[in-house]
Amino acid sequence: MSAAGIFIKVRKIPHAHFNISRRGRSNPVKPGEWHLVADAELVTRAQAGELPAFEELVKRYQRDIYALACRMVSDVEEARDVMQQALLQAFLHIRDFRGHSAFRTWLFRITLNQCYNFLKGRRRYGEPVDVGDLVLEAEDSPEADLMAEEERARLYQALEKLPAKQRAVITLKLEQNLSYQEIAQVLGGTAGAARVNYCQALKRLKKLLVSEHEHDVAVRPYPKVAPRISRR
Amino acid sequence: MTWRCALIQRWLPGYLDAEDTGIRNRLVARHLERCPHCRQELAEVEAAVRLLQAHPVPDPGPEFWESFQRELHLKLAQLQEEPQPQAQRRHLTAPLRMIVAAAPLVVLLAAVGLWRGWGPWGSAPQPTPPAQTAPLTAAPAAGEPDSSSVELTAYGPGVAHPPGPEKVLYAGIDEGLWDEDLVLNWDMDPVLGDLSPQEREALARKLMGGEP
Repeated sequence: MSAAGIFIKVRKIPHAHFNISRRGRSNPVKPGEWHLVADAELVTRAQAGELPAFEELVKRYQRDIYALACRMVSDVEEARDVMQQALLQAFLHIRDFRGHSAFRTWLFRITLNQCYNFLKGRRRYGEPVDVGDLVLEAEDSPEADLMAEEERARLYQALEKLPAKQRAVITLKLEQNLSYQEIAQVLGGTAGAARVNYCQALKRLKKLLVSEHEHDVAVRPYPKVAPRISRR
Repeated sequence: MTWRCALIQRWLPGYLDAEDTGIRNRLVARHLERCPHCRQELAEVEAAVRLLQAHPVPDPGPEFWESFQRELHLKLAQLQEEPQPQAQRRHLTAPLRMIVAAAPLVVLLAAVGLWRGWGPWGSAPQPTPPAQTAPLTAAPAAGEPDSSSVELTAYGPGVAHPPGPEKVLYAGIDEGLWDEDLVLNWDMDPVLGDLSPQEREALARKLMGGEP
């Protein structure tokens, strides 16, 4: 490589860095246009201390975080608290985010850590779980409503019996549609380990669902309507 | 259920997944064609997935999100105004981390140095003195301390022996009962071997205290 080539490279690198760092401050985004900005740009601005950029990131991912927290702690109010705590932690440590994974994956990881902390405290103090608050939607007919209610209760009881990590891997895979590689970034370990975890979790969920169903049938047998035939 | 069924059933959740492709999926598909038990298992796993996906966490509504964002905004603004201890802590943690990492190494080096006798705490390795064959002088009488003499201590059963090499003391050497040069000739067999029977008898009489 010639001396001129080296000189050009040395001159170019600081110039590029200067442009990136200046862009966040020199181009202010109008209040209604935050949704047009890409994630990476928002993260850079949030790392520079721009609160609206972080709030836009929150708006994008708050529903995913809330769904994950609800599945993990099985309580609407607690899920809200956990989500708020996770987002505050994310804001405090956003400079530590290096972009090795997607921002959404990073948020999931923080949320899961908060959920684990919450579950540890709940196990210690033995607070009751209220899964009934999660049911907010009504079905079309009363019969369908009743069926859906029973199924939902069965699902939540089975999910409650799953270990926290298996609940997390099922939620991340089936509801958040993360790949095994992304699940490994959230939970730690390798993609292969995430796959094995997912398979075991799903098998266990299936077993719990089947046993819950059998238990329901055994405890509350439906009355048989015997045909009444007149002997006359 | 055969061992093959057990193996296949471990792979069934991955079989449902579009991400999982390859030879394993072909094996599962081939096995499912001829095994009704595994087909039943697959149907149950599919039902569990369908049940979970049919009951997503319901959205709490726009009022919930508005109040949540308002509350979060206040807390974030409060956090932004506070001086962040994180930056200061990060400056402190780098040297602290180095110190913590270096501490075991320093302790290890100090331990090795003490063991090998390096540094100001340890003494330099002394060459071992040659085995002392000459007898040492006995301790002087009580009340007359002498630094050059060796203290005599009786060690019987039950009394711990002091550490270090044993020092051999010869009784009677100070009284002039025998000469120091004789110590080197404790082995009497060659001496006796050279003597005639008469000379041996004379020596025995001399040793027993009789007349020469």
